[in-house]
Amino acid sequence: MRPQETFGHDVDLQSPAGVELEPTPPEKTPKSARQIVWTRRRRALLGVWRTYKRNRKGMAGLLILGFFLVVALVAPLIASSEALEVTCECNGPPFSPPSLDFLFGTDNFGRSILALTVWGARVSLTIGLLATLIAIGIGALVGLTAGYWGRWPETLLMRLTDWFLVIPFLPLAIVLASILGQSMGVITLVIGVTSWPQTARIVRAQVLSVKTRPYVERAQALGASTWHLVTRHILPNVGPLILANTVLTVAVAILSETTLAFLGLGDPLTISWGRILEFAFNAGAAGSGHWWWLLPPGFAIVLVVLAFTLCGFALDEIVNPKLRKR
Amino acid sequence: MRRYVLGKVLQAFLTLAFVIAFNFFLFRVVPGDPAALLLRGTSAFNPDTVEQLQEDLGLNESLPVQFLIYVQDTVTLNFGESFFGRGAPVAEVIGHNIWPTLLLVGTSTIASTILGMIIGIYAGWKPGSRFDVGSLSATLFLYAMPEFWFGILVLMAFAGGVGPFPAIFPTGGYETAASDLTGIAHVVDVLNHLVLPWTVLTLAYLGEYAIIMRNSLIDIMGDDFIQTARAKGLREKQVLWRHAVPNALLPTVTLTLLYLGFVFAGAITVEYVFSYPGLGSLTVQAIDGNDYPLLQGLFLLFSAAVIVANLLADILYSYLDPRVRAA
Amino acid sequence: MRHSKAKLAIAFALVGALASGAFATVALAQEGGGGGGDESVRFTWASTGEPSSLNPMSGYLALDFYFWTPSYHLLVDWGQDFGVEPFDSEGSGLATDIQVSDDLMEYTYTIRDDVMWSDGTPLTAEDVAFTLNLYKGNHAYLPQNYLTLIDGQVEVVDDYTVRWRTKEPTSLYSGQAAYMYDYILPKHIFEEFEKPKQFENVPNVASGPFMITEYEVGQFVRMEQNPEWTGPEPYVDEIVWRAFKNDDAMVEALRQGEIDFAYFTSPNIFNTAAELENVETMVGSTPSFSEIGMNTGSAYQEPDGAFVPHGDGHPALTDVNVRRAIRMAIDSEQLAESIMLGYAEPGTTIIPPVSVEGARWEPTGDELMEFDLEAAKALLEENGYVDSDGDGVREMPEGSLDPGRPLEFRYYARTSEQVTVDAAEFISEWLAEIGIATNVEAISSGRLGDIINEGTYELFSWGWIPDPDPDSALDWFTCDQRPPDGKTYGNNDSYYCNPEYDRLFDEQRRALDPEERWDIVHEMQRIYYNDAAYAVMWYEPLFAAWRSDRWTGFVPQPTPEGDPLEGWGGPAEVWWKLRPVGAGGGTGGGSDTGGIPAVVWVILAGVVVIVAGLLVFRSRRATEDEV
Repeated sequence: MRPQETFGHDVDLQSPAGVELEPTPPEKTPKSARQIVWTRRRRALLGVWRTYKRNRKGMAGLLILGFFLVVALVAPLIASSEALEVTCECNGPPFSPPSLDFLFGTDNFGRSILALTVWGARVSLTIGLLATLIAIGIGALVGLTAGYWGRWPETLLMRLTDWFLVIPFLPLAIVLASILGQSMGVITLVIGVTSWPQTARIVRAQVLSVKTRPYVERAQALGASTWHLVTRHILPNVGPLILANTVLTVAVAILSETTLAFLGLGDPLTISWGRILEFAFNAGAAGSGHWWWLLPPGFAIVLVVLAFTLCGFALDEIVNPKLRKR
Repeated sequence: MRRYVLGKVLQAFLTLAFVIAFNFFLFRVVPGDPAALLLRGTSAFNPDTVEQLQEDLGLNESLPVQFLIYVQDTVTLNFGESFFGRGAPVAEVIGHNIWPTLLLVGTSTIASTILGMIIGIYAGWKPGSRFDVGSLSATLFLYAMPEFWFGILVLMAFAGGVGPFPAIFPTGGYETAASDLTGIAHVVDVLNHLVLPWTVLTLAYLGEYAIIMRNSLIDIMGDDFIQTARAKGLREKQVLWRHAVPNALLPTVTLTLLYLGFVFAGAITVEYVFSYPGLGSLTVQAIDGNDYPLLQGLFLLFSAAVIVANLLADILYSYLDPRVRAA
Repeated sequence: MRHSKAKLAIAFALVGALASGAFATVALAQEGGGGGGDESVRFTWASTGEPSSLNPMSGYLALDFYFWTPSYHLLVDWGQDFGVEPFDSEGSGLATDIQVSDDLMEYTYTIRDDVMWSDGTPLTAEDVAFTLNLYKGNHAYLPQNYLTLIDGQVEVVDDYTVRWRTKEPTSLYSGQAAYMYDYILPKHIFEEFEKPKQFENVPNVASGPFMITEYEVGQFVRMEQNPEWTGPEPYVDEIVWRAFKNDDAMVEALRQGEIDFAYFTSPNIFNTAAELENVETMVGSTPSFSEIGMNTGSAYQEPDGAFVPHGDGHPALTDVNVRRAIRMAIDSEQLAESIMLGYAEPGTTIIPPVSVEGARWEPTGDELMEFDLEAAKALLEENGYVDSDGDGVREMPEGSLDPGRPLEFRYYARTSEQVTVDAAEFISEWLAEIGIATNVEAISSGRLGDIINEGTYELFSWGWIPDPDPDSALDWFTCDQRPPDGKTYGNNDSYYCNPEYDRLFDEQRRALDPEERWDIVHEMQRIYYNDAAYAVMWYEPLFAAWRSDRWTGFVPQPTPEGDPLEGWGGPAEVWWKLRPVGAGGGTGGGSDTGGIPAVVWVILAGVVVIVAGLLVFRSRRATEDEV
């Protein structure tokens, strides 16, 4: 189990962090203002990309991610999906170490571990990404609402957040799995629903700090609507932070899925990296020294999580200039 | 300040109360009748016996009555009786298993905190240096690695013996069972069994603390008062140890407390891999056996521990950060 | 500056000390080895799981029985091959003579007079009568099932004689088979309790060769020789059962000599154990089977007594031909081969191979529904289940309960048993080939239990552990055992109801002549097999492995390949026949660790500290220069 890294975005420190994007100018003339806004946004994005490219960590992470995404997408080209079935004629002798026919060896049914790992990428990545979307969605919403409106919604929502943080993840996941069933959807939901508090905290802190900035107060004084304030001022300043946070949450989500699957809570009808490890451990791979069964899925997890973390670090450095190398 | 602390304590109590209620309803919503599940497949499985077992397990009362009994019991620290283990009181069963977990989690948390902080200090001190990059890479790698996978590899290597690795450690357990060791021999035996899971758990979380410390330090090194200290003519070493580190220590320590919940979760899988008879293994066992009273008790214990840790972190924080103190 | 240097040095010294201390303790542990007396002969065996209770009144797991077989007696016991252990032999039950009245409603048992409890009290008829009444009166979970036919109380006639009457004529207590699986408990101990079911029974007062002396939940159970045991003296002084969390750890412990004997559940890991040096293995069969159950018509049967039709099972399964086709589409041999690595016996009838001598019937020749996809397809075609729209799935014929409805079935596997999921993958493919579509879902056992009660399923995967005597197993499939109303339990999870079967069930309970009884029991099995409400996949194997260089004298039950520790019945012979090989047998608890000697570890630790220290000082010197 992993908490998200907060690197100095200690929410309790309430230190302002975040790129100071220039606030978008108030509408002057309807037509060209929009164009100006979009040009500005494009330039800003390109600027971010250029900075990102210079970040070695970030590029390394991106490369690894790219590799795995490609592998996941072209899985059918590497190994036919039939190789996942226990009755496939393409299966070899069970428990065989790596050989020319089976690059990563075979499992207890004789299935190619290479095929399992490659197809498992899809499931693990999908669950990780979807769960993160849920977590970020809820977390950002809660954080924004709490930070922006303050008073009793804030208290209520932060109470809720604290409470969620305190519930032990694993027993909750287990109980939810037995109530809702063990399927990909449920696992995704469980991970998403238990990962949002961290995002909520970060977002709220950032919203609080942005709220007090002069241009926001100016806009408020000028009678700007809530919608305008949120979309034009708050979101652009909170956005990059949420982005960095999202990338890191994916890493945690993938690790969570692995843990749940390993303990037997994964969808029994799909193959993910965590499930491969579950099979392997329960079939005694550790005691029998079947290292080829244990290493590939584990390494895949490590590399993917590492990649997301590196990207997240890189994004974070862009967002918080203080973290860049001196 | 006192008002702040009181406020936080009150919040903690509220959260705890919420957890207690949630705990109760959560396990009542789970489908399937525990009594039936326990007996199914044996020749004892028939409606009469199931009903009898339901009664013995206290499942026959109406839900509100059960809830009231539950609350009353919890307040008097009576957590019911476990469904297995000869109907032993949950408190007793947990009590039996708590020491190994305390030993494992306690010692590894201390070790990984200290080691992690030391590494983080040196990395943050010279960001970009070889040590920084090297240690950052290593800790990143450890962070990305599922701790139970690491545990399995270690188990395979040092207890199973694969390839060049010697099998020198026991494969699990807290001590050599039913062996009447006392004194030093007992301590040695326990330590012998502790080495592998301890190593795994320590290394698994070391990275987090290192990174936090590193980044906190970097953050702080950019602050004004550091420039002032330097301008005053203090050597870098003094600046580091007398000014930077104490300020970086605070967020690190509080975050350590906040991470306690995750360390527990990590302990669950590591204990499972090493058959280490602590609360983690107990949790997995309780799940397999649909032992709801036990799960409830464990759930409550973990939540309470995390609530207390959070509370301590908040209080500690408020005490040391003047900005919050003044608020 | 000096301060920080000192601080760091101290920090590293501490870490180094911790490290070398750890290594040193490891070294010590290896050399010293564990404790355990040199004089006491201890046999350590292990399994996963945990006893549900050591009190025969409340235990219901197979594991519990291993602590009762050395401690207690039955009235009539099983022999090594599940025949009746002859009265008055060393390992027999308490009964020496059984008198049955002509109307089959009164039983008089005479018991031995030479059995003593471990606290010196003699075992008498008082204990027998008290125990049986105790089980009945307190709804003891397992034991009371064999006493339901007893009318009223069991009476003491004299010190060594008991008598009771039954509610209906029956031959079950006649001693032709060991039916009453009731361990006799000491009256003077159990009568003290208001709630005897909650008594933990540790330490216990025993009548067998061993008594339970210690129980650490989640760790071990210790048993020691009973000084008052009047039978042959065991070689073993102490029996210790150790709890393990998984099979993997057990293999290691077996290899290193931490344990002497282990029961495995995973065939894969068992194979690993089988390859170890000095380890002998045995694959027996447990009296249990795994099946695919079918909903034979919870929604379509007539109301009958408490039973009302409920649920929404597919009507096709009310047709025995469809069920037989499914049976023929399941290759038990392939399943046993692939999933159980060939260790399980392919399944046919509901009475497993391990059962009371004579009870089992086996289908042969034409009656045997072998795996034959073509024959299954033909059977469905003949009965009008054709695929008229060419989508690969057959539909129900004209004139049936629901004409034109495609044969699409819900199939539930259980998340807690990976083998059911693995089997589902095979079976759904075979069924697809014969034109039956299945929708496989893996759910928790709790939810499946609810679904079965509700009748909202077609196929599911579960298992049973019958008693050696077939009566209890056969009872599960009688009409009145069906879940009656959508909410309440019933054993009969296939909703099978056949009046002929029920009639035969009553008859076998009254057949005094064993041959006659077995004939009826065989007929019942034939009927049930042909009606195919269950497709029995396999019978669970029992995996045992032990250190043959240390122990010998195991008594497999049944022979030749059974349970080496004789987990069924009363005092098991194995407990006095088991002995160490040669002089120095038994576990002293030491570990046979081959490995790097201790000295090397201590040196390694020292090197680590030195290197760490050098690194630190070097880097510090560098940074100091930078100022």
